[in-house]
Amino acid sequence: MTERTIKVEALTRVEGEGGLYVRLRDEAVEEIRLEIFEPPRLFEALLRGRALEDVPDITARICGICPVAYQMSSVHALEAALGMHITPEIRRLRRLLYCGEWIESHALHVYLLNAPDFLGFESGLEMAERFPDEVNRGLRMKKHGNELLEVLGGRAIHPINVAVGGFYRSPRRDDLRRLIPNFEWCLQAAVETTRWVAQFDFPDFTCDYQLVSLSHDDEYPMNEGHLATSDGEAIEVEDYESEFEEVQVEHSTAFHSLRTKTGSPYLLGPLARVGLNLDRLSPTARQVADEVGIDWPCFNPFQSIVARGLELIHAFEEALDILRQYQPARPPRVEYAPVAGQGCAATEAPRGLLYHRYSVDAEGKVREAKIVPPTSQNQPQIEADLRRWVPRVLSEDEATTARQCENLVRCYDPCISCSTHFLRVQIDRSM
Amino acid sequence: MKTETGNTLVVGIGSPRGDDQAGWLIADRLAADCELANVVVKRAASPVHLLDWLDRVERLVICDACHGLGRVGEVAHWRWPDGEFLNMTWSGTHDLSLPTVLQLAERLGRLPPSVVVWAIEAATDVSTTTISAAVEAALPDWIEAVTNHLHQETTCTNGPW
Repeated sequence: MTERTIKVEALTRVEGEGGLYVRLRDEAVEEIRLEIFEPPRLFEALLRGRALEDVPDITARICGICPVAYQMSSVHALEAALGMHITPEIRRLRRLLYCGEWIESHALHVYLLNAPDFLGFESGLEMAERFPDEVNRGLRMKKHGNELLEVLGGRAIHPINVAVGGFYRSPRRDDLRRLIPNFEWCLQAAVETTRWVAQFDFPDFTCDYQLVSLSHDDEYPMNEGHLATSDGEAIEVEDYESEFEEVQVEHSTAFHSLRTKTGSPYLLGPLARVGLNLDRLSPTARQVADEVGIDWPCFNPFQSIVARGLELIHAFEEALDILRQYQPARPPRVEYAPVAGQGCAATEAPRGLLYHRYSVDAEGKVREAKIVPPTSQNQPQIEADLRRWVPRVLSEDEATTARQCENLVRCYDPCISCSTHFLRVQIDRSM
Repeated sequence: MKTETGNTLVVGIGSPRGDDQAGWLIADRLAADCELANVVVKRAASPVHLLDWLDRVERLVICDACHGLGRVGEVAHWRWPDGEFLNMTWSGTHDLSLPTVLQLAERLGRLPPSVVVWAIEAATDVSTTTISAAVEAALPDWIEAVTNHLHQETTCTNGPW
């Protein structure tokens, strides 16, 4: 009987620091752990006692890649706690802001993080040598996504214009409309991107996922809706904590999330969103989705890159629609008076569902905060998928095995920095 | 002697964790105090954000925390592509560290003609949101050194390009 372990000390091309430990006995997988080495996040505790107006800016710092997602979930949850409603104009502006974040996150991931794996490159840097036009295309889309965040959010890194009730100021019409020509270019670039990645050689690896995402009757989900699953459930956001439970695991400073009823993992993110909301993609995205030869909903994690491409198309197309019709929201922010209350919200970060809950007191101070990021929710599913993947890719060359494991993990675009309230692949082959 | 007039971008790279905030702190101070023309100061949460801002930039000045200088609070600077700069450990996620991002920009023909990196040695503990006493004590001198560098390399008129 032989044992061996495989370790990847540090997962590359993922946000934050994580490691992977695999223990094998007679070449069968005995244990897999996705180990998170980030220092534990203290944001839930930091928010206690803070004025609710401070929450969007504080939560934005949880993640450098998806600050808007944290801001959106926080303001919607706080507005629910206050029993207030925003105007349709503010709602559209928030969707526009989210478009910007999806664009810069997905463009980065597709071109510099994920595509290299499918083309046999060790890194985005290496890929840029052979595919400079493609990489420049991706970087230009990312840049214009960030420009939208700067104009609407006040700053690309940790936007400062998001407020409970709306925005501190409405951007000037000319400042937003100036983005239109570049976004028109980008829409075509996103179509080319999706067609390009759809031609990659994908491993035949289908998983028995329960897909979970927001769903909305009238639109592709971003800020509002109920929770839908590929088993046909429709769950109110207020029931999230009874339907999904967080579990502490020894090898991770991030909690794992499981379905309460079954104890099973589930999958969030673009693959889930596209699969559960295909008919609400923008017209061009819907057309390309039909074109690429994938049966939706798709259960192959390697094809998440195509789902991200479709969401790039959608984000540019929806953004253009809003930009062309934009009139400054007046007022930019709905006024409120602090009242004691509790509220929750879920919005769709680039990586998947992000849940926030807040209790506030009558003085407008946060009493309690709960933040459940998408990557920690995906973690058990990633481990389950690795348990099936490792036997397929196991080889005597541990470096090759480790790389194949990393390739799979990168398909989920894990944002490890967000996912701790605290990827090194270690393959253990003890003889 | 001043160099010829050009557009200068100063980027402070950081995060809210421990001494990794140093890049942001210097960027905030420079944005508030530095009255130099054709100098734009930005914060970045990741080196990859630099790639969005390089158009028409002639001088790029980066301020970031690193490991490898020795004593916490120690300051150094390098002009790209100085080999010693590559020996430091830099922040950066997704396998897109600062050196990798600069190499990528160079490979794509986007890197400005002049790139200078200013670094400060950070403590390794990032489990806190406060900076270490050593970095806090070193910040004023670091800011002064970068400011003097900017004055030497740019002309003194105001306004973004």
